[in-house]
Amino acid sequence: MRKTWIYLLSVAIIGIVCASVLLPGIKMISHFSEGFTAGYNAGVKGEPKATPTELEVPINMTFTPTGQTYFQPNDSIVFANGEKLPILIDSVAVLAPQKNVPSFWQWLIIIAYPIEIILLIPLIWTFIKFIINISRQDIFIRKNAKLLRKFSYILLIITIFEILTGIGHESIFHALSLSMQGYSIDANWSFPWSDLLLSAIGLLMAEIWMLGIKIREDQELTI
Amino acid sequence: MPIIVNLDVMMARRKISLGDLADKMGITPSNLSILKTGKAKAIRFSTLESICQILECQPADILEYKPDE
Repeated sequence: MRKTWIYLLSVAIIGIVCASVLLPGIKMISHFSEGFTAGYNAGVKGEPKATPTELEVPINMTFTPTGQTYFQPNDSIVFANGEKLPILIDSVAVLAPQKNVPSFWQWLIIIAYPIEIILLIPLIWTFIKFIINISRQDIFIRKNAKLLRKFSYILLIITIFEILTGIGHESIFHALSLSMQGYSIDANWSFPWSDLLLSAIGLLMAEIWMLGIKIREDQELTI
Repeated sequence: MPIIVNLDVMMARRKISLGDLADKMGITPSNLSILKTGKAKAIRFSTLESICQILECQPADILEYKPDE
């Protein structure tokens, strides 16, 4: 019964991981394809460009109203009877001209973000291999402890890059000195506590796993 | 490990094979072989008692301490 439950849970986890990677991946490929087609049409066929000529950098930020401040634009959310509802904005992205954005932080984000994406591949692969071993009932083996350790280290590296990009976003936000009447504005970034905690717990679990394996090996060699 | 298992010496003295001893002790020959070849990490008192009873010897005849050089 317990073995069946472990197997079912393992299959469910692999399914969730695959879905969480594939669905956003398909969406991203679709957006890339649309952008590529637009760019191709603009470049080869001479159609008007969909993007502005001047390069712009999207800056994400969160809004906190200092009082009861609401927007009620013409295209606001409406009830079925046509009554407009005031909307409260809590996060936006503005396009800042590239010349105003400090290039060091901009380059840091440009370099760090793809590294994070690339590192996701070994991270997910390591996790899937670990879960496959569990589903095969190969649980307390050295390979699993090593996989868990590898997973945690990769996650830790990704977290470090997340922190670096976050510092980059924060620095760019402060360098631009943005403001808006009636709102206090902050960079839309929060410290990745959960990733950091997960990698630390993973490392701890790997060490406990290895200790358990050593105890089992000692037990097996006790005559 | 500085603990030497002299089970093979005692078995030769008592002229008993590994299979016979394992059979009398009620353990598998492979487990007894692990003990005989010094690959075991620990030995239970019950196993030691059984060996001493069958081979009519003392624990010191089976186990010996030799410091690492």
